[in-house]
Amino acid sequence: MIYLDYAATTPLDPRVRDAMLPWLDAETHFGNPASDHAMGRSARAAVEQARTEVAALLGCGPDEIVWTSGATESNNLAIKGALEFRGLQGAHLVTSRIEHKAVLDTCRYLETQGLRVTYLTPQADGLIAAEQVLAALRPETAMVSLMWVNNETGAINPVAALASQLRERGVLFHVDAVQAAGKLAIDLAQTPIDLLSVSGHKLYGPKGIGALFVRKRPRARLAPQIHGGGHEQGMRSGTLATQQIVGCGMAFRLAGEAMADEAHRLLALRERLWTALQVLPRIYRNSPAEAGVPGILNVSFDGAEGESLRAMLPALMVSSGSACSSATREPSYVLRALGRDDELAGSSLRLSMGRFTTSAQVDAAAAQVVEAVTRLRAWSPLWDAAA
Amino acid sequence: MIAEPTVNVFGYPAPVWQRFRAPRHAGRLPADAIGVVEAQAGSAAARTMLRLQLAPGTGQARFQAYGCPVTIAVGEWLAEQIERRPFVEWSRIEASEIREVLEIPEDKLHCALMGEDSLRALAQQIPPSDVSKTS
Repeated sequence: MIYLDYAATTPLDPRVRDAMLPWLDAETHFGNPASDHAMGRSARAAVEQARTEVAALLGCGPDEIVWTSGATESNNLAIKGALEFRGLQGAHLVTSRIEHKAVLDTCRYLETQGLRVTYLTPQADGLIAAEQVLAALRPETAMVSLMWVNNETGAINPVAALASQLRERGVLFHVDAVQAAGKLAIDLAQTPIDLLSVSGHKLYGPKGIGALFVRKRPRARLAPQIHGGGHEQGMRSGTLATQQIVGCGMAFRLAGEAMADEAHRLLALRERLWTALQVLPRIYRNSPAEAGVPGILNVSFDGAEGESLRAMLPALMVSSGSACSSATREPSYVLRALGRDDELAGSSLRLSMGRFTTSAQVDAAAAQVVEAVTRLRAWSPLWDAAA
Repeated sequence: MIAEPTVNVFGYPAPVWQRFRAPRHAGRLPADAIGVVEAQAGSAAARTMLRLQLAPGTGQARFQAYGCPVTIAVGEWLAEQIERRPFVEWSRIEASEIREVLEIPEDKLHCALMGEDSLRALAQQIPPSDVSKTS
């Protein structure tokens, strides 16, 4: 088995696991962080230490971090919370067609409640240009929600350049940074983003924990989406999951320590993989070479039907488009938005590498893909006709 | 030599998986084979296509398929039947039989229907003088 699906989720780093285990102990570490006694205070201290570690990676203050159950909840809280606080009627939001479903479905829900939404189409390289966003703004635009890094192609949007221009115009800026955190330098002290979503399990932390950055100055105001107890400064009620939060904090700390070296290593692996695949004619790189995150390579294979290609690769853990939408077996909506036809969108593989990926694994994976595509093309009447 | 996929991760029916992982009739008949007839169903636009070939003189059959594993398995099974059964039998194979033998689920029924279409089209291509050679 070769795991090349790090963009879907990552394995728990053993150091993260070690940090979490004491907080699962039934004798001394199970206290509620909200309880005012020794065990509660101990848990609370661990939660606040983790908050500091997440904030350090993002370049913000610990009091600007709100714990959530994951990035889907963070995105929901940011968009629904900010727009409900402002008032939905007459409000306008700008986003893109290639956002994660957690943003798109939230926007579609809010459209039923009166919000008006502009969905931008990416350029041919998969990027949303700052100029596109600015051109879509209206006097009533309340928010822009844009992902920093696209989860399917790895394309890096010009978020930092856009942030200051939106601030000048008084438009709230929410960024889904799930695929960016720990891979790109993020400094929220210098980048005027108002709301930013991150996840633990994309960074070798546990599943079920995420965070939302909510800027204090100028303050981004949110209507809570979960009521009951007033936890997290009233923005997200619910007993805090100490062991998950401690794991998330450790994961973010480790990611920060390794980020520069890891970026170089993953970039080399990505290009090694691309070079190895290029023995096949008529393959198409859906990931930008320059403005792409180091660990993601998305490729379409002309003449190899997508479902059969997946079935041919049982020992290779990769995604056909978004992991979240693979179950629907529909061609990737992201790749279709990039202008790929249904055939090429359906025949795409997203190969995403991470902390535990080796060059030997990359070579073996490339060999398996080359064999599978060659086999399917040899059987195809369409490939025969096109040859 | 290309390796065969060994694990049926996505849970295809056993008769489908067996033929998808190691088809014996995939490809084209030799270019110098005599009197080869061929027919196809499906289209590139529909993202699925099946082509059948038969050399009446030798009774050899081949298939080419573009589509999901079920499509490929249908092609393999039909080529097997064309070689094994007389013309009067294989030319009357219906989608219901393909579906039953390969245990094709409802959502893949279109693969069986395409198999029937390609078989009918192939039968129509065979000159009456060659029908006896394929029996």
